[in-house]
Amino acid sequence: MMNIIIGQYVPGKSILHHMDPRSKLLAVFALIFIVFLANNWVTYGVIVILTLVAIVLSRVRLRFIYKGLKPILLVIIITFVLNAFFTKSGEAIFDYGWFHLTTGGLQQAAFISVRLLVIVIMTTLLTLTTTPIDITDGLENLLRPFKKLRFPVHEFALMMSIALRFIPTLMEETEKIMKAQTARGVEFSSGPLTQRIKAILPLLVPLFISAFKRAEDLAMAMEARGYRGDIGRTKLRLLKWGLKDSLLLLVVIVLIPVLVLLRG
Amino acid sequence: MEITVKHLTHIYQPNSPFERLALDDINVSIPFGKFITIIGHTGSGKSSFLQHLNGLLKPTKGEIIIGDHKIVADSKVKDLKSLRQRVGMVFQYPEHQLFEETVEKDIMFGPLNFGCTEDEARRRAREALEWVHLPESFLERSPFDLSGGQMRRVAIAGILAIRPEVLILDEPTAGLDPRGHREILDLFQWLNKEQGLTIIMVTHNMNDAALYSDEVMVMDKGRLVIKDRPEIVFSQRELLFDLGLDIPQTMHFLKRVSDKFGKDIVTPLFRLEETAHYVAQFLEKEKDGP
Ligand SMILES: Nc1ncnc2c1ncn2[C@@H]1O[C@H](COP(=O)(O)OP(=O)(O)OP(=O)(O)O)[C@@H](O)[C@H]1O
Ligand SMILES: [Mg+2]
Repeated sequence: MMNIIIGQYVPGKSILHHMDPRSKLLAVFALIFIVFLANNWVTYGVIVILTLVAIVLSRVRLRFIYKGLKPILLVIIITFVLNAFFTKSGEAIFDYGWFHLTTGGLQQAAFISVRLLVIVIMTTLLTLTTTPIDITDGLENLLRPFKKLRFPVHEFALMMSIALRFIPTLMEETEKIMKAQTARGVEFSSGPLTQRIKAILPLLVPLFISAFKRAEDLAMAMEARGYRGDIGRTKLRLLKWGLKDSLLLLVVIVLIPVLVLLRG
Repeated sequence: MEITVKHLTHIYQPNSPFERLALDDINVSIPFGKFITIIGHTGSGKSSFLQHLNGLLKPTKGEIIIGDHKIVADSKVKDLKSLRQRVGMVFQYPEHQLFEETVEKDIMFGPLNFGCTEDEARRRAREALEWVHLPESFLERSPFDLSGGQMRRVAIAGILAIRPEVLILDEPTAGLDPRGHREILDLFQWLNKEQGLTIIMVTHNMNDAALYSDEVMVMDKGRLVIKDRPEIVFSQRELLFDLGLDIPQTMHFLKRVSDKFGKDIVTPLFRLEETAHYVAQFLEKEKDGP
């Protein structure tokens, strides 16, 4: 049940954990675009080294990052294969019918796979080292300028943090109801398909009822405590921008001209 | 159907930063037909232990033997279904598992899953509803229109209709009013005495543990600390306090009387009448002078 790693925070005391969520969000967001600047071995090398440094700094165990990658590993492999066989440039290594493997194709495939990998690792690192609440606080803060355009920034952030807050609760609830119905003879993980489809109702009905009840309780509790949107609202957790945050952004900014100069 | 647990250890989410040792080398054997209660501070592993008894959780190490079933780390789901029919489990807040349109259908759900005919399941639904003291008119009602306490009874009826030989209960009376609380516990006692069911119940109420059970299991941090008759368990006041537990009200009362008279008359008595009688005798003796 608990093997979804994307969006799962791993507590720790590394320098990445202590950074301001805004700097991390900005850096990851920028990096997603910056990665596209790389187009040769040197530039990809720079980016890979940077990613490795980030992994080391996060002090998150490699096993976790691997777990985060697993769901999209197949996508990366398919991308690699498609690119390897359908790009025709450089010398031919292998030629059979309409299968051509060329040095250029191989290189192209490697580049694109690395690009994907880097993007996924960076976002995984962000969620592994930042609590969901910090991410939403950071997002709300960064999106503040859009308020002038009547974009409901606060409500958007609130919705996101409530959703994030209740995902584990909902998963726990699912597990509990599954167990209770298993005790009443339902088979969720074995038996014929028709049987398993029938098992959905006894799971979903109680789940929906409890989710609606929770939503109602939450709304009532918020109202009882005087919640009325973000007017005049102060924050318990203040975001603190430090030297290391500025440094991170500096690295990201410097990276742009470096890549531009080094790219072929 | 005797229950034997050997070296039972359970670790949640092993090999992750969230790893948690919930049960630590538990050895216990529970003879058929007993009423056992489990007490322990919150997080001591009571619910985790219960869920092993019908294979909802599988041991990380060790084994559970129930009749001719044996549950080990890699037991197959198939073998577990027939076990689950014989070992019924009522979870904490079981009313959250209701889902059918009518009370009758919901109670019939379990028996049907375990291969009963419609007629038989319907008959059992009526009977089970009577056991939990609800009128027959409830059969046609929607379970979601009932009060919390009534929903609880319907949910319990849904398990009883499966006709288990062992009944496992996780805090079955949490949140019930005093009368509902007593009625439900009396039902379990009746099932135990008259129908011969083995009952294993987790409770936070020391009075219930003392009054209803043949034996009390005390758990702490995933370990089984003692398993013995209530008279013996509740005589160990200091130990229970250390574990964040308590003694029954009657014994608190005897302790107060002892303090007032400067004499230790604390003895394991759990019934009000017995305790009143005992204190009256003591006062009588005091009056007559030393
Ligand atoms: N699904 C789970 N995943 C991870 N850890 C769990 C899970 N369920 C229980 N635990 C942990 O296992 C330990 C024992 O929990 P358990 O629910 O068995 O305690 P309990 O004695 O029933 O407590 P309570 O009196 O509060 O119901 C606790 O430390 C708990 O945090
Ligand atoms: Mg519990």
